[in-house]
Amino acid sequence: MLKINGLHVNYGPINALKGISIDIAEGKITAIIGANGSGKSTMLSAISGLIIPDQGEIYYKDTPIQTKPVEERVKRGIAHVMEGRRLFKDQSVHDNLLLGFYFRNSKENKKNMLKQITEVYERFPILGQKKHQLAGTLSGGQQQLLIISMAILSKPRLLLLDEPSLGLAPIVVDQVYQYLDELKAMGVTIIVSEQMAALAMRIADFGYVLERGKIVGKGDVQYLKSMMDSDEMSAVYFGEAKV
Amino acid sequence: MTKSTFHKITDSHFTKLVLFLLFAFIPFVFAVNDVQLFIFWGINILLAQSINLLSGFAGQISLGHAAFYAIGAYTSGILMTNFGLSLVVTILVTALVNGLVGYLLSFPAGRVKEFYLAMMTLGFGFIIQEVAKEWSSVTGGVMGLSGIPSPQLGTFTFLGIPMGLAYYYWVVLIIVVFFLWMFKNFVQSYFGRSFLAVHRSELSAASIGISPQYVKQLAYTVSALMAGVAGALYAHLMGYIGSNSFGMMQSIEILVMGILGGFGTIIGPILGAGFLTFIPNKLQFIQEYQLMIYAFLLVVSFLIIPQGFAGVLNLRTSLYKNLKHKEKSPLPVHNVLAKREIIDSEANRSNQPILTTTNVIKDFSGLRALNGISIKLYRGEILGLIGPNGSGKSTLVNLISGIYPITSGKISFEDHDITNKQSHYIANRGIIRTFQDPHNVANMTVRENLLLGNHRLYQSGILSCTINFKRSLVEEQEMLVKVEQIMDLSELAHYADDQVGNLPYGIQRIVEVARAILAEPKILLLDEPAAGLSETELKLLIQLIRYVKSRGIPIVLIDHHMEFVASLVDRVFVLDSGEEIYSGDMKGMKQNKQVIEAYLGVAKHA
Amino acid sequence: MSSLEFALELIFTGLCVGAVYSLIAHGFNITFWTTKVVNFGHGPFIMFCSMLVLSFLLNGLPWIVSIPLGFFIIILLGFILERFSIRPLLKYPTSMGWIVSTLGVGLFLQALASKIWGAQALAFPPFIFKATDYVSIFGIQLSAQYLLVLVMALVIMLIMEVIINKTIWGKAMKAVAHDPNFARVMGIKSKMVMTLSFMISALLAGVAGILIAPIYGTITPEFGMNIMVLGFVASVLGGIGSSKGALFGGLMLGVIEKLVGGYISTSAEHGVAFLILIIILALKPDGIFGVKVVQKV
Repeated sequence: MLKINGLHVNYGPINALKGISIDIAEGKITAIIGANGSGKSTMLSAISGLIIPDQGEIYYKDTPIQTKPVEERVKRGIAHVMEGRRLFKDQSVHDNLLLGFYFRNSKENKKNMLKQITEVYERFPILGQKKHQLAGTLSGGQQQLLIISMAILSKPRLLLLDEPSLGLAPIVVDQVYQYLDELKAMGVTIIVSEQMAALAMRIADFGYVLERGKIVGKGDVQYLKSMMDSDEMSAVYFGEAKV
Repeated sequence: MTKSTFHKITDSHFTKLVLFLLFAFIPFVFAVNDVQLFIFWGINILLAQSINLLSGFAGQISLGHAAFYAIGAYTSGILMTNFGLSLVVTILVTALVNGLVGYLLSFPAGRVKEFYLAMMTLGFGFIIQEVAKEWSSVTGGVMGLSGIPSPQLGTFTFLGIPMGLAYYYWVVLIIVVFFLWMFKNFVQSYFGRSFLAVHRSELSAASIGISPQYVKQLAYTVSALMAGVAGALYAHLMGYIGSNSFGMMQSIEILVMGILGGFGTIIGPILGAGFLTFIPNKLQFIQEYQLMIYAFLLVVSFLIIPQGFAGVLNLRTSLYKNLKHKEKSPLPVHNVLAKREIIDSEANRSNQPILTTTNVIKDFSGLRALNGISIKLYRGEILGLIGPNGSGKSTLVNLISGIYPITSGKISFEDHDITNKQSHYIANRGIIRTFQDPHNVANMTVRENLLLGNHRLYQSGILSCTINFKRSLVEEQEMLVKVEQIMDLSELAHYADDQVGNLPYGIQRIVEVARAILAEPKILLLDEPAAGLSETELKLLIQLIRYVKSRGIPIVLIDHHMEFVASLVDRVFVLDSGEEIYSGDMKGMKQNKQVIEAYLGVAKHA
Repeated sequence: MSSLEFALELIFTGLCVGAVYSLIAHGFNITFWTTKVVNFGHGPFIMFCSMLVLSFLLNGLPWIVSIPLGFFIIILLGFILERFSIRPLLKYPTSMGWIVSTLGVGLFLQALASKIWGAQALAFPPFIFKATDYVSIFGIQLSAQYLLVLVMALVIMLIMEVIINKTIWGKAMKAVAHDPNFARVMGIKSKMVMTLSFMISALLAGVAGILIAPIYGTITPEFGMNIMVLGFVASVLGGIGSSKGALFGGLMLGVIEKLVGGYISTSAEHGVAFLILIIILALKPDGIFGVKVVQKV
């Protein structure tokens, strides 16, 4: 589905990513785990096109896309939920959903725009109740659900989520993750970045561990669990492993 | 010819003398019309340098500069015509009046930035022109003010002697040379450097003890003063002034001279003024399309030659005075940082914290970023401040250094309450910080940036620096020695004369830390100094931090790189969502359930 | 004329002129939203459009052709301005680049206008009504031309509000203003929206020019710059970026100006406006309806 080869990204003189290579299987949830500043967001932004990499290739369904603009990648089915709960906070919930839908769908699709938005309200009644409120007035969890709903409205094949659990209460995280499982069942490929390794493990099929711009570990859930139990994971966050 | 030989030649006193004599001979060689043009060049040089100081150095854009020019012209013209005062007196009074106007304008103008300032200065220009137009009893209104003694008309006398155009030329020449000399001394002193620091970032300037308000007051005052003198010289040259001469077009012409010549250099505006004086006059074609060409230059100059003529010719003005070739005797060797010996009286209090925050709360529009944080920092220790993203670490540093006002609580330093004091005040007390992304002045060299660190230690007065008193030169030499020493210590000597903006990111960070050390901090706050550093640069940084610690200076260190933090700190303080979750040693932290949960999402082995 | 009538008439003319200031302030707002840029050449755009229309009229074209043609050219200029004088300069950290550059474009138009049409004042014919047409309301005689300007300015602002708040394109514009990168991820072509905002802003400048010209009676190449600064004042008074602010700032400024002109001296009219500009900027730079921006570290 998605294959990345030797990806380098520099912010001016900082090397944010130093040669990342990963393989994302179709229809699975892949977790990118790492501490602050390890390069998770940069990697997702390079996939969605917000950042153009300095080196390396990104193949999406076997076509190189690393130089394509964001709008082009959006059309091909890549949706990106950015970190920090980005929303059009000065516009209503309904308008946010409209904006999420309108510019990423074909003309035919637009005909039943309202129907699809109504489906969102049915799935998350709280959004329906608050559809005329400004998005900025929603609670953190409601905002996150809205953002993911907006992303879903483009019918993506690949969904990128950057720390969706950040700052959410555990019960809300459950709700978000449950929704991600539903999407997976519908055949959407998902990449989710998480600082909280334990959280990511709950839904991921496969995981990569990122440390200061490099992949330092990868494997299935069993592997990640064993890593958590050894002190390696602690080392990723707290430096040397000796405790 | 290489750049350095060029500088050697232009910098030598012999060259300057020859140039001066050549210029002094101009009235003997050229026709009257051309002499007049040279006088205009002189006047325009003053105008161009005036806007250069304000916009090019201090970064305060001015779209109404003709207003200062007008005030100068009218003041001097009226004083001489109505009161018969001599040129020396009228120029002095004009300088004083204009300086006062600039000083007063700095209060409203100092509060706004960017395009708000552009609008305000545009409005100021319009107001002054309106006043000149409407206050006809004093300014002559639209009819203008005529009958000002003028050397062109033969009505000008100086000390009772009638003065022709040639004499007037010499007067202007001397005034211009005198101003340029002072201007050069000024921008090459710590005053000039502080202007550029404020230009780059007021926040960063304040963090090393420069008061942005003071810099702006000074910039407006001096800039207005220079433009005023230019106005006086203009009034006496023409013998007539009308409000039409000081409209927006004049303001734009002044701006074009500065931008085209090259802001932030000394030679640039001189060339820009020359270009705009001679070219339109000599080429009839240009005169016809003058306005269009100026407008066109405004549009393209930033795109094509952002640094103006000076940039094209690669003529940078250095911002310090290097007198090594004069000063042969070796200067006393200082240590960069005087060791803070724990003397007896202090030893008694050494268990007293040097910095205390008590129950500090910070709200950002309803969102609580810090909730009742109390920290004590002791002399000689390194305190690590850690926590996940958005936990409030940087906010705490911003509160201590006075960038944000705190919502409630108290911060005290060495028994002084510094809660909500201005950040340059706090820096001047000795709390020095660095930023998450380096806040050096990109277009200054490493050496000049490091000299900025010394800013708060300079004692020479403004006059002393402008007239080059010996004491100010000696002081500058002493500071340069300190800079050399820190450059050795931090392996920057190789980059001494490179502009910081062109250097690798890691080096920029090291420069910023070195600059902070030169400010002789009593407390050093480092906000993510290791981010983006290579392994070698990291080692260098550790070395510098250990040096500071060895001098007994306490450090607060924020960083995500745990190995780096662990290798340095004595104690850590962990924040999560604005709350303290742990305080103690590193080892204890790694076993602390709350900390592990904050980072990993679950308590390990719970 | 009674003193009350005199005062009411001043207020009325103030409102009419003020409505045009509001329109200018709206023009600033639109580009400010999308790019945080304020076009310092907006004034000459105002002048240039009215000059163009006048010149078409003098060449025998009817109103119905002259005005759309003028608008078309001014929109094109807005496009050119964004492409060549703003986009390349946005990458610099300071605003000095685009301030100087947009001002340069404006001055170029002004100089061009002087070259083409001369520096002297040209008479601008009244629009629809004759200069002597009056409407009587509550015993006060109101100039029909003024009334027309007031109504049209208000209607245009209303239409703008509806477009921005009710259509998907208006929402997209707000979206780009709020977070251009997030907007891109949502498939909105942020750069195109930015260009579009400059074209709309230019159109508003053109409209303001056509409306104010018959009120002034004559136009000169310089009148744009002057009226632009008055638009700034209106904008700053209400708070840059606020629609409500633009409306009330403009109307307030118009009324204050006319009252000062009527009771103190007409020559102090504009002086007062500049004074308001300096005072407001010094005391409350975010204006009456503006939102205070938190400084970033």
